[in-house]
Amino acid sequence: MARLCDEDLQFVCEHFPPPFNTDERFREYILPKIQKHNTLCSATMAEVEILLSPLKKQYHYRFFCRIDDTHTLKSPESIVDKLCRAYEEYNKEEPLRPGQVSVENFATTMTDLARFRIVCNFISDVKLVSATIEDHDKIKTLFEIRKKITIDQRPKERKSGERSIKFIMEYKKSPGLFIEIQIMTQLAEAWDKKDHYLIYEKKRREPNKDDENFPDFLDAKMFAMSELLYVADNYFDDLRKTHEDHKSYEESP
Amino acid sequence: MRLRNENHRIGHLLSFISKKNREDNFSFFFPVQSIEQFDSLLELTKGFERCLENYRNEYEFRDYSIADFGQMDGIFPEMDIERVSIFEQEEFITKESEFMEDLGKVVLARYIQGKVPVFPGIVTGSMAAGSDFYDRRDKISTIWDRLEKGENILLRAPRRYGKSSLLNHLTRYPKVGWQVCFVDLEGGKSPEDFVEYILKMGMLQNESCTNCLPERLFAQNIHDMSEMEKLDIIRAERSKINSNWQAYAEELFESIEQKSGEKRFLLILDEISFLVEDMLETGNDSPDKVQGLLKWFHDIRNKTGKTQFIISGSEHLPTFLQGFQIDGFIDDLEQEHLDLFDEKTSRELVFLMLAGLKIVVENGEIEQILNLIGDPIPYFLQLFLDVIIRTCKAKQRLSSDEIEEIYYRELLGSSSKRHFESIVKQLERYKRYGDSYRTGAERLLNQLAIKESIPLDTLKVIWQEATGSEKGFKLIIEIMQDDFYIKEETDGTLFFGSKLLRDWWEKHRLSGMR
Repeated sequence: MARLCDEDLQFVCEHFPPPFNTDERFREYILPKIQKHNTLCSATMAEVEILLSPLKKQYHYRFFCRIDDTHTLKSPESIVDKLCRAYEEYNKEEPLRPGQVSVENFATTMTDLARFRIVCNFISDVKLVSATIEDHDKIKTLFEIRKKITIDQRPKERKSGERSIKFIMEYKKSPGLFIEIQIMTQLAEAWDKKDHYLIYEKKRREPNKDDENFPDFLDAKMFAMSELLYVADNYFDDLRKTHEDHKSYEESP
Repeated sequence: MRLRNENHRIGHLLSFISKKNREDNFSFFFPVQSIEQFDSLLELTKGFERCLENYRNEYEFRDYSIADFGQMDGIFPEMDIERVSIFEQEEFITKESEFMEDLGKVVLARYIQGKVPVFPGIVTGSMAAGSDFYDRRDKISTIWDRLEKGENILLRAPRRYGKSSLLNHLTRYPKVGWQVCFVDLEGGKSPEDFVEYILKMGMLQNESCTNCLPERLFAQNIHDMSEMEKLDIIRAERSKINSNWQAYAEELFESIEQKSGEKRFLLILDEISFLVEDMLETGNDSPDKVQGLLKWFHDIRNKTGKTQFIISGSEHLPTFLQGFQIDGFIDDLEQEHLDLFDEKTSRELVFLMLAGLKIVVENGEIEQILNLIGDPIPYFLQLFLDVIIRTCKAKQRLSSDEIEEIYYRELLGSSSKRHFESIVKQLERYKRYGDSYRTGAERLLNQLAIKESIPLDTLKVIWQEATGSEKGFKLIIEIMQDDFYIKEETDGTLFFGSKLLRDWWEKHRLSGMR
């Protein structure tokens, strides 16, 4: 089980209600509050699988997409870390404003407590999956949806190498209950997994220490790799299109 | 009721992980079909977490979203993939979306107790042992408490209530400090048989008891012998028993007393009623012989210190002995009765048996099964479930109407006839009490099958008409309580306790006569 860093532990001791304000027991405070996020995640995955099933059938001759369930629930340690960073930004003199993330309301204000990924083969598949979810009546009825696109983002708007389409979906029946769906290509996912290990964690903990933490410009290199893989994804999509056009020409009477 | 769908890959995993040793964990996978199941899934998750409350210090609870049941290796590093069971939500959630906490608790307890297999199986007609032996914890604990106090016990219950299974359980899992020897007396017809069975079926059968045998037998290492060699020994001992059974038995009990060491020795004598009944059939002086044996055995019980006894027989044993003017010398025995499973336990048992065979059953269907058979006599309950399971496996799904049809057509049908024949054959045994007893008993059963309940006095009149006298009426009523589950209400009326047997009687015996 992961342990808290000193700073986060200090935060727990100061801000969590007793008896949960210790390294041993803070999870007991967090886990019951996010149980329904996890359950919603399973139920939404099942629903999305129904939506994707016709597409998978349509593209049965090649890999189209898969649902990825690794780390669907934000870990209690990450939640504490996020809370800790949020509190650092708050003005200590002023009381918390409604909507600001806090120890008391994090379960209804953090939007990424539960999430799952849909990993697609081609960039065009990402867009197709995204459109299918977005246009689905049942999903629209059940959820308030916010869409965040970083897949084709302009350079000046980019903060990281992540390239995906994210749906931040609030379950209408239970306001404040969010689920996040991330849709990305296999290459973007591969990049993300490496970046998470090499860069993301360090950057998250110490956002202003890139020069110290990455003296070898690892962060810059990883960012560049993301761009490179974006080019590769686009090229693969062109190749797919050429292949399919050629195939349909050959098969035409 | 339907076969569980184990092909759906997306779902929710509930894991129970030992805090002492994370390698000790088990999980339940619940397939999820659509977003509509969110509320019930949440209820289920919270419900199971509540069920863990009693084990909170030993186990931690976690739940996980699963996209592919076939790819669960990395969910948590110590996950025991061999101990993942699939269930469907409907198995624990009512139609009103309420979690059935009793069923959740019972399943959880069986996993935590490490029952292998987790679910009790169908053991119609044979002894339920190991994980198939269900519950009876309170009775087991009461019996051991009494034994610890130095009491000897007479365990009484009607047929097929599970006496032998309970006694077998006591034998297999003795309390610390006890050595147990189980002897089935069925088939014995004399005091000599009584002693021989204790030697042959008990002491020689059970390797752990051989150390208590008299030295001349112990020294022969009987357990290392071939079957032929063993038979020779038994033959030789039989002739010694036949020449003086009392002296032989006294030597045996003395040896047990002396050689059981620090441990206390429990001798369980099952089916004593059969022995007594069969002894009575053998000759004119048999009531005296029975009394002689029982008196002698009573004296033995008074003499022994470390050796204690459980004697098991039918409910009617005391009345039966009185009927033959036999003093059974059983007043020193503390009486224990084995009752039927209560409603809650029966419900749990039905659920577990079906769940173990991958059948999803709803609450209402369990009630229907129990209502159809009436008193949940373990043998009949298993018989019914056996037919239900076979049909469900063939058809994939069963409606309530089909369950009812199985009851009337299959269970009460000709294909199940053999299961009831042995019960009906009990009537033949009644002839031993008097030629007209069989006819009289049959007449009583016929009336009881037609009417909901009949006053005792009315039955007495029927008996008199059939047999020509009042004699034996009380005895036969008691015997029929054991054999045909006839029960007496507080107002003095009698009725068939087993709805199944009543229905069967009405369909086969009565219709045959009509």
